[in-house]
Amino acid sequence: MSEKMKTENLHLFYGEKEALKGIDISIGEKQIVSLIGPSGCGKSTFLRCLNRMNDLIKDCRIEGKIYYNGLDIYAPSSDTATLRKNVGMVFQKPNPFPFSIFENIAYGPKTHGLRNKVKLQETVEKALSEAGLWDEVKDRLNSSAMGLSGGQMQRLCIARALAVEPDVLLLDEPTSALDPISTEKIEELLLTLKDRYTIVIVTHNMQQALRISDMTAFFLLGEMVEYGETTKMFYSPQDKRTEDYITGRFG
Amino acid sequence: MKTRIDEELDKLDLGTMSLSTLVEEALGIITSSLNNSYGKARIGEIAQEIEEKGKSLEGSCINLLLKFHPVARDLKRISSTLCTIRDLCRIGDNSLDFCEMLDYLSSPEICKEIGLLDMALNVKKMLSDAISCFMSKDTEKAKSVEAYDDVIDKCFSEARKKLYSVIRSGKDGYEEAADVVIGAKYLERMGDHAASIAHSVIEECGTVEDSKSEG
Amino acid sequence: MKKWKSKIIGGVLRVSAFVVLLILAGIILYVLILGIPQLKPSLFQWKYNSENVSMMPAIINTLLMIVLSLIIAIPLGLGAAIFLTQYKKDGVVVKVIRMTSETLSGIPSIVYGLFGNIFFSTFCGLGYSLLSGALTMAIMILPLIMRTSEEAFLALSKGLEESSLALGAGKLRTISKVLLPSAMPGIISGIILGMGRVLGESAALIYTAGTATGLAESLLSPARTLSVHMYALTSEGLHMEEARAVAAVLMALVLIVNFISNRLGKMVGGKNE
Repeated sequence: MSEKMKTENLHLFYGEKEALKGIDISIGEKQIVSLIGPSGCGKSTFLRCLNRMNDLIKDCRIEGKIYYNGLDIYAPSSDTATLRKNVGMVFQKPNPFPFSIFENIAYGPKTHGLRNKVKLQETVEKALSEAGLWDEVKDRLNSSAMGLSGGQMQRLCIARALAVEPDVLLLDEPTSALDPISTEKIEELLLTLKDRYTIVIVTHNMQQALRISDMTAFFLLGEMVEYGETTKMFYSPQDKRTEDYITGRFG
Repeated sequence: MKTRIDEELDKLDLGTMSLSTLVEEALGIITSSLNNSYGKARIGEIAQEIEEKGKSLEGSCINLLLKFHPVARDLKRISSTLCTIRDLCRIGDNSLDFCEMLDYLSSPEICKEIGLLDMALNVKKMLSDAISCFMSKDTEKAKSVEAYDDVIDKCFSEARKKLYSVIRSGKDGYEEAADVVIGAKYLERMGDHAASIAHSVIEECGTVEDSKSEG
Repeated sequence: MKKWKSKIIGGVLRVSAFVVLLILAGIILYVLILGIPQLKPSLFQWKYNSENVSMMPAIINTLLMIVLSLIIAIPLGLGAAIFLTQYKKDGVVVKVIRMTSETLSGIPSIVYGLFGNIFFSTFCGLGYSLLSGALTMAIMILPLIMRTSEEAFLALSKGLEESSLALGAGKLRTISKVLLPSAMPGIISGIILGMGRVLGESAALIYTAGTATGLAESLLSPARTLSVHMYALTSEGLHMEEARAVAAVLMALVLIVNFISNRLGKMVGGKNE
């Protein structure tokens, strides 16, 4: 399996405070990797490094290297717009734009230069189908996206990210604001997307990590303590800190 | 730090302990029956108690799985406890079956002749060792208990050989030989279950190599 | 004991609410009742003369004044709001802008009038004119437009900006295609409030746009707006009935503007659910 993204000795500082302490991780293609750990351990911060979203934060400094398809994402020749087209992100709180469903999905492709109406229509349909939302909304593409339910909104956000044809999808606790049925639908969706995309998901729900991910990384206080096959890690963790966390013996 | 699950697991261990005491009592009845002193009336009661206690403990295990979604060492512990409970119950069933077999015999002498008393004593010792490794999580001892199953198997083949010679010789009581073979089989099974208890200790606490080396 | 107390307090609150309602409704009704009977077609003739004292030129002048003030104030106010919420979010410059804006909004309108008179009319040589009035009005409503636009942007959920950026859009595109349209209801609400202020302003306009009657012919012509017209009529004392009619029209316009602004405000709230 080839390597899709990699970090080497990644350190991140918010001013003086070190939030990530030397993360080395290799993410293989077409698999689901979940990042677990207690609040404030750095997993979301790490996720946001992968598409350079941390560039937006004042006083945020990065040391070490991050590679996408073997290329350094901070090289002077690399461009954030292209990176973010290839490495998409879905956030915890579903946040559709206050436009129509169609315009929401079309926003990404339009941003990257797609103007042809026919092609846009095709792209929107493809993205909504991939996200499992097409049948539910095909008759009301021009109605406001704000009228959808929470679970539908989150699938819309996933479709919106898929519309620009990324090959990596980053999800930051995508189901923590949703009810169990919507959560299940999204987990099913991610499992089907695994065949075509590399998925990295931050979750505080260990059952979710067990259900859907191939690999799991455990973060604690800015360090990556353990990284391995999910079922192996949850059955026979190598590090005591990992075992204490997953068995709830923390604190 | 003792959490809720730790308390529940300790309760479970106590329950398993008392179940194993009942099973050891059942084996005691077998050995003493083979020695002619009669305690067989008790076996029916004990078997009943074993079954009830076993069901209740199994239920507790399932409840813990439901409630706590355990992983890692907690999951391993509950898994091996569940196996042990089931093995103990099977031993209890086999003890009842053995005593029923004894009821069909005109006298238990034939059993002693072919060495079933020694076999039963070995099984009793093996079970007691298996239970103590389960409680102490001693993997080295568990390995030796597992290996001891070979001794039980040897006793069984010896008993079988002796039985066939009894049948061929036409000696007194040879008609009952078939039942006695079945009885010997029950004892051999009990040994297997005791070995299984020891094996679950290795699964729970041993390293990857430990569990790989056992077929 | 406690129940007693809360009953009394409840009663007092109810009475005070009723009194307020009475006063407000009273004023509105008083003006309308006195003024509506005075409305007549001659008051709406295009050409003003001292006979018909038509308010039509004043109405047109008011519209021109509003439009011109908004043309000046909106780019400045909206631009500043975007700058403060999207670019420089803190620092000395921002603090200074905030402080001056807050001060500006507290200045009495007559002071604006005097300033406008001295600076625009005299120093810049614009005299009593539409332009002078519009410039003064623009300065007056600038803090309002800036503040409401800022609030409209700040009320947007942070996820909108992040989502747009995460899709590969740049900052400019995010602001123009996502944030601005999303904040628009709030911004428009603020603009309409600004409109209401210009509509109701008299003192500042007397000293900058003047009281000369007639439709403003160019930017440099004087432009008597509706409020100023009403002031002029009442101070001249010759056309009191007509003045009442003007008051009624003014009141009606203010009510309409407030109603629209209110509706928009509700729409914004609804959208953000």
